[in-house]
Amino acid sequence: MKKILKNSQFALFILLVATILVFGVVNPDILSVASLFSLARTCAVPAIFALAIMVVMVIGELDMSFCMIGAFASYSTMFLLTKNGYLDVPVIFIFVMAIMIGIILQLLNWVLIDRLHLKSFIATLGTQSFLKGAILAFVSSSYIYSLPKSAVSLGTTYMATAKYSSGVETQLPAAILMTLGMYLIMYILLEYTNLGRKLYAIGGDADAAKRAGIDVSRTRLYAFIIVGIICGIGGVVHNCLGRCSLPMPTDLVGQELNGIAAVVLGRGAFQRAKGTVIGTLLGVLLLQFISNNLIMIGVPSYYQNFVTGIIIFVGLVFQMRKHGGLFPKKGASAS
Amino acid sequence: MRKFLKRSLATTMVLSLAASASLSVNAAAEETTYTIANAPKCIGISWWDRMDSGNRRFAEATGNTVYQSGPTGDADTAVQIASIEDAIASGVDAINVIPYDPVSCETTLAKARDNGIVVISHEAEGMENVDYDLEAFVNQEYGAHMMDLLAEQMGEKGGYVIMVGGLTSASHQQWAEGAIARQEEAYPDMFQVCDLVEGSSQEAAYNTAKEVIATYPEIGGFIGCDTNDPPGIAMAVEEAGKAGEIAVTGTCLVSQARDYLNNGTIKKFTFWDPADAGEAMCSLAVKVLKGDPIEDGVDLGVAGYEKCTVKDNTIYGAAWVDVTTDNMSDYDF
Repeated sequence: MKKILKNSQFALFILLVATILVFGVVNPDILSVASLFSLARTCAVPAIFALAIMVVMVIGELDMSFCMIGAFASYSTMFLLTKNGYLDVPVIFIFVMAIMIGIILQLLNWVLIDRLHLKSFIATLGTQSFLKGAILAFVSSSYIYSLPKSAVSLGTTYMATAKYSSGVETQLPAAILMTLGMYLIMYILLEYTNLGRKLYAIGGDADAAKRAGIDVSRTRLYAFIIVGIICGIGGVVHNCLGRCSLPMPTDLVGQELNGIAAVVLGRGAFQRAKGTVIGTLLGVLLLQFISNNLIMIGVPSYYQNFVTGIIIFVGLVFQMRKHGGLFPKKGASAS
Repeated sequence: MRKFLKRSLATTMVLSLAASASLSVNAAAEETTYTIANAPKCIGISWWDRMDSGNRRFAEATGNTVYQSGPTGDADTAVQIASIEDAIASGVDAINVIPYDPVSCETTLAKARDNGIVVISHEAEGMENVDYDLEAFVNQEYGAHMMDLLAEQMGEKGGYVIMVGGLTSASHQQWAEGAIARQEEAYPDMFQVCDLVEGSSQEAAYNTAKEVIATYPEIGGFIGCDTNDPPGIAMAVEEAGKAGEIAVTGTCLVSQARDYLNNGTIKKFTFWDPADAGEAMCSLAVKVLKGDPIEDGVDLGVAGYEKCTVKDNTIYGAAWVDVTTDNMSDYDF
């Protein structure tokens, strides 16, 4: 089981490398360090949110509200702070506040899905639109362009600078460390802890997990708390890097399916494990790499979504073939 | 001190009495005042709040009643139609509508006109069931104006690119068309480095601009059509170490561009003031209600709408406003 999983990710890795090489032949600048920094900057936020939806998908549910929850948590935090003139709060305080809000909102999802037994897709669509209304009605609708100083400095702290051959600079933002740290923590949690195994077990078959003595309801509760934490952090990082806070940022809310696509790409055609950390990271890298570099290889804007769609198809088919061709034991038992 | 207070109180009372008296005299002299409903795509966000301040300016100056209603926060055709229906039912004299989806509003607006209500639309060229549609400008001319701003900042030479909010946005396409036409005719030393690019949010604009700068080192300037674009582009320009070398202009709002105006990455941008548009719509509605002639050159009494062009049922102003650090405080929203 584990071997196949690894190989499925390996297939995605090969596809990523192949795509990078093909793009690099067209424009050698894409193989530069500067391009790598640029990719890291673009991936920082989508990768965090992909991690959030991955946890939900691991336990066999879907979530359409995670981006809105991230945006809600961060915007209401920023709004409360800036409105009351707390522009000098330490950044940790901002994170803690947003995480608390994120957790509370995800607990609402938990109640809907676990206690009221609603279908997660529908329930979270409801949460999303409920929050869209609530943020405008009860918080504020104004755009915040003067964030607390610590937030701005987090967004503008760079670890390194590199140059394209043209002399144009790109910077590697320090915030990417947070993204990597979260991936590392989630990797350890899912692969090496009891809780991780329980999460996968519930995703595989909730009834069987219950019979095996797992407290499904409580484990789901932990999962939603984790997702709330990730959403809160993601929202704040998003605001810091963008240096502004919007009640409904369109580059976040409405991008739920990109996160889901990354998870789906990452787990390959073999769906017994509903999501893996490394696979999700590779999925995000592939999707962001493509959308980040189409201009650099001269694809006109009109074709960009079209090309992105084709590469996703290729990715899925490629993995399926890899799986079917080299590992015909489709029925291999789940762990 | 007490005496002073007493006296000023008395003065205020006398003044307010006089004011109310003069108001009633005014009303009597003009005989009729009108009630106008303003139905924008949505309410509660700064753009439409700003339009409502224009409505109020008009109401205070003329004694007519203007109110705003519509979907809260998020544009929604169904809710907008419902609030137009409400306005019809309550018997208003005129409706100033900014339709989210023009086609689906036609039937309801036809009903309004059947009930003798004057209908003025905005940002909806080519609507049928309206008395007039008022546009802040001819889209191509606005595009040409943005090109003029860019050329001025680029010294009329070098490579540029135009970013639109959405490739399917008709108005942005027309702006881009107008801008490119102006460049071809007036600025032969400027050239497009690549086709239109898309920046639907500030983050998208930032990413796209970064890519464009990396790919085309000859880039000397950007025009961003969506208000989210210039700040995103400016961020990318700053990060690339090109602030001051690459010009950034386009359509923006002071609230979004403040930091970049202050540090000089954006020197000048343009937009149209929804308060002026709101006031001009009210003024047009009252003109129609009174039966005044509406013909080429009509003056709506609002800056940018003093000498409007009339073409069929569409009226065009030339109501763009250029913003620099000097006048940014006037448009602080």
